[in-house]
Amino acid sequence: MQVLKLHMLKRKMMAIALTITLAITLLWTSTAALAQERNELQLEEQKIKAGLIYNFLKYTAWPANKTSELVVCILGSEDPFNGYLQPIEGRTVNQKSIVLRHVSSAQDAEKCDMLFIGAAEQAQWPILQKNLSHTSVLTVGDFNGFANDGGMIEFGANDNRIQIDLNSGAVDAAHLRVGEGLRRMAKTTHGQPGGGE
Amino acid sequence: MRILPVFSIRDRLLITIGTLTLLICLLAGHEVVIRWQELGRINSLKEATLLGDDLFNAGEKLSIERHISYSMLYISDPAALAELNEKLKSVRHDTDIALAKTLPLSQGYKFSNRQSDIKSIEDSIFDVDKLRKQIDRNIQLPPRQRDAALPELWFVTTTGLVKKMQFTWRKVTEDFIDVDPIVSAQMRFKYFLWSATEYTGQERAVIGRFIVENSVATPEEQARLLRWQGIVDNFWNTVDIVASASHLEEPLKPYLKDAKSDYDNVYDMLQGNFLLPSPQRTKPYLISSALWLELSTQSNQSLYDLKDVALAYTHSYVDKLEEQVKREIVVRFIILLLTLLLSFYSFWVVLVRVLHPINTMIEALVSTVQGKVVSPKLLEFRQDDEIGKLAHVLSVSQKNNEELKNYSAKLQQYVEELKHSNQELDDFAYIASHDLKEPLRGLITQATFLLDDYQDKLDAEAIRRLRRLVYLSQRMEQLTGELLYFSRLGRSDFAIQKTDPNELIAEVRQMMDVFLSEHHAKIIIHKQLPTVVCDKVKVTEVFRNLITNAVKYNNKSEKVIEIGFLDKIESPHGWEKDVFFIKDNGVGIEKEFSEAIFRIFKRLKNPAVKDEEGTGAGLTFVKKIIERHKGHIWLESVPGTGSVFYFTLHEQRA
Repeated sequence: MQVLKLHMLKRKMMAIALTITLAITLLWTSTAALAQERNELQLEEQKIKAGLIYNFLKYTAWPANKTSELVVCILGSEDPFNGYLQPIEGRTVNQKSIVLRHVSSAQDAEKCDMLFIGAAEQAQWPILQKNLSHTSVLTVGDFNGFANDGGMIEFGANDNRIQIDLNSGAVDAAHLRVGEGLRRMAKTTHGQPGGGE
Repeated sequence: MRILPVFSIRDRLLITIGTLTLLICLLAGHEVVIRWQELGRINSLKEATLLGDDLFNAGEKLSIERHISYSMLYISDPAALAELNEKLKSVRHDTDIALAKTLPLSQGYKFSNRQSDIKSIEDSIFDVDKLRKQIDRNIQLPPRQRDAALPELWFVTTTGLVKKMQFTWRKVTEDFIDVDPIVSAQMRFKYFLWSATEYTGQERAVIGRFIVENSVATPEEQARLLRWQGIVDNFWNTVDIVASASHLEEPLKPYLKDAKSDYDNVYDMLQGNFLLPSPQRTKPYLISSALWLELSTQSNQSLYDLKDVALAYTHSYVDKLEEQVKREIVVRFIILLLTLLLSFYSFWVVLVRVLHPINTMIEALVSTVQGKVVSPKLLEFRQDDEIGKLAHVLSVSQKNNEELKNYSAKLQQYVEELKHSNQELDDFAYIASHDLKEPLRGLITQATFLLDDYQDKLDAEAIRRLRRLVYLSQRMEQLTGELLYFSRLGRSDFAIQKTDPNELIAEVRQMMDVFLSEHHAKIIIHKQLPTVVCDKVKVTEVFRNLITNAVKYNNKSEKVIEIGFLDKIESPHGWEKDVFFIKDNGVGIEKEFSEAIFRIFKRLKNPAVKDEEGTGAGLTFVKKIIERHKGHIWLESVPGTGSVFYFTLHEQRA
């Protein structure tokens, strides 16, 4: 009888252990799945933004652009596109080859045709903006309020979807011409043309 | 037997030039006609490329409309619907215009085998129009009440219409393969490009639906997407080769790279989401359907740019082709005109500058031969060419002829006058000598009577004078007699006959036998003389006179007279044939007298010769007789050594 009881207890214990294991496993997997989905969404966002960069280049005309290259710069050493912007290097747009660079200073940024400022580099913007005010660098920022702060193109969000905000004033001040294609994609705001608040 | 008619040189020349002109004109004209037809084909080709462009454009607009309507049928959000509806209205308008443009064009071709295709396109357009109205009604309804089959029907109908247009385009392209291979290849390239663009458009329209629905592709849909993707990938893998085969590689190169970059860019954005098995989504796509439409339209725009570049290149190529053919037509036409001008010119030259002068010359010559008078003015042509020079020479010779005729007539007149005057002279000599004879004889008789009857009454001086009177009168009678004989020689007819001069000389020798032996003269004939045609009596007189002279004017003790005959010898008048000669070893004659000795009654005073009886008429008779035999007489003489008399007799047998 004792043996039988012991046996019953053993089975109960095993069932509990199994249930716990199962529960733990379930909990773990569900959190992992959630995390993965979040991660995937982020990657999707980076992919789409990287793709949109190409279209910005396509519909922008620089004043007196004589080289056969278009230099796209990313501010800071971190890659906010997680490598998704890399394929753009070597592709052509309007018969110009695209060159990808990382820059860290405003001085370096002056040599770019387009400068991307990721959310992580938001703090650098006010200084940069001052230094770039007399240049024709197309600025693209991935943080809130960029277009209002004198940036030209801002990656914003609307109803969880990517939205492009275009600061026409800033673009005009930099003597850049933006084509219909870009204007159709973007929501035009009228932020500051080139300077701070 | 002559079967073919005889053509004059004039006819032959004209026929040859005419035929040549005709042949050259036919050849050049044929070339012009061929080029003209080619120009017509090139114009059709041009129209066909325009048709291709319009079909492509209509396809493009339809593709955008398909995308928008297809997405809208799944959208419930009124704001999103309103945003797309704006775009839909504008693109429908564009589609209608583009479609309206293609139909009259393709009908204008009158390709009998395309009529059914065009009818089918029109049916599809009608269907599309019907579906548009259904779409407009459906999008007003909440999604659940909408016709579930409509989106797919719309997709299939529009895609079917594009396919029909593509099919028509491909068939039209085939019609022009033989006109120009390069243009035809470029038309095929555009078909190829359109196909890729169309599949890309289909793919992106379907993806647009997933974005609206926030769904992922079912395995079937994935399979379909992958198939289209495969076609499009194939396009990108082979586009370089096809472009190069169509001579479009160079102009397209930069645009191809842009289009590929653009395409790759959109592909990179989406590849993970729709072409691979994915879990159902819990969160919406980060891209709005409007932005997606814009992105996909923009990306396809790069492909349309390719088409525009290719089309511009084709148009400029066809224009060049047209220019070239037009130039060729002009060049050939000019050649044709020049040929015609040259032919007419040669016609003109042959007729006016060659045949007309030649004919006139022939007529002039014929008239001249017929003895008619031809005005040299008739032969006055331009003198700067060969025929002109010939005509000029002929005209000069005509002039000379005229003058010669005049001279000849004058000469004839002179001859007549001279004959007349000679006749008168002969008559005068005859009358004078004949009529003088009678009184002279009376004078002699009276003087002789006086001498006989009054001899003793007259003194010696009177008798001497009377005797002198008788002598002078007798001499005058002798002279008158000879003058009479001389005039008879000019008047009487000759008895022309075949005569043997050997026999004749033998008679003379016999007759003069006493005379010759008295003077110690001998006649030598080296060889037989040939027979001649002459008056035997008169020629006997010639020989007798010449032999007498040869003996008389000879102071040698042994007088030798050689008679002979020469076939040919040079005389003061030139070369003479059949010449008799009589050579002596007499006193000879000074050269200055060689003509004078033939004058009547001319006697040379020679102290070595005593000749009281001669009158000096002998050689004059000889000359007269020989000249009446159409011969000549001349002499060679060395004074003191001897003379040779040469004469010819050229009387023909009567």
